[in-house]
Amino acid sequence: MFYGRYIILFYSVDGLLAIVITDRDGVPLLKVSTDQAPELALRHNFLCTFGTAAEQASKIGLKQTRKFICMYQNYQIDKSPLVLTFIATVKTNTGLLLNLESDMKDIFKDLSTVITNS
Amino acid sequence: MGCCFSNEEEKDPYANAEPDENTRLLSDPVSNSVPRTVVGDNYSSSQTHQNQQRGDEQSALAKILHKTARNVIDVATIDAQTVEQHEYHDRARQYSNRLTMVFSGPGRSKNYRPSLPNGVSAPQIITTAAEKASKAYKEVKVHHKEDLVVPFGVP
Repeated sequence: MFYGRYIILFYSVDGLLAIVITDRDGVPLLKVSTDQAPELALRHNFLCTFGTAAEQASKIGLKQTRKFICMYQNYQIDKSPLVLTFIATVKTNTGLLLNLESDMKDIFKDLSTVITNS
Repeated sequence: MGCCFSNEEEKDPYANAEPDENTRLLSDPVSNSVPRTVVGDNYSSSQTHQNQQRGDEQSALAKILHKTARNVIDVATIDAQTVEQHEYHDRARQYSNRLTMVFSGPGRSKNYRPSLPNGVSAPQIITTAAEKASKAYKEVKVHHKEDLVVPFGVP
């Protein structure tokens, strides 16, 4: 089923701790995480920051923000109208995480309908 | 010696129809305060005209204000934009309902598969092949037959 595929993706990258798909305001649609994932990073307050930051950053004339890569222990990809967040350990290969986005293309297509219908 | 020259030509501002950075955004405010010398029936029509003009002015001002507010990067107001707690829960519930509707709907038999090359229907083929390969790899053994280092022409 759908979730099965999601979990397979989750284990395909070494060091990936959590995948969260939210809307622009940080309201989660789907969340997959391990026990090691920092609990604070999965909270709404943290997730919604990127949406607002992207909105503000788009005003400086560099056009719309596409990706955020924050190197504490965290990683973030933005996919309008959805925001896809990856949280991974520092040693995780960033390129592999970026690649996951293209693997999730079909999932995104269906999830976008959920957001746009509402 | 130096010369400072800005390429500003003497132009009649009213003859220039194209709007530029010097064009007035609003019509001349002085013209709005024309003394009401009109009497009789014409008075009311001129008043409505004036009100209309004032309304246009107000909407133009509001438009400018909105545009400016949209373009301003104001970090202090970001806190106020966050979603309320109850709205957050409502939306999360709504999304989960919609998700179950979308993914368990009657018209849905599509399975999400990893992107495999054409003609490969099941990942089982790959996993069995990988298993066989790893098994074969483990069975690779080196048989000692002769010395690797051979002395040449040493008496």
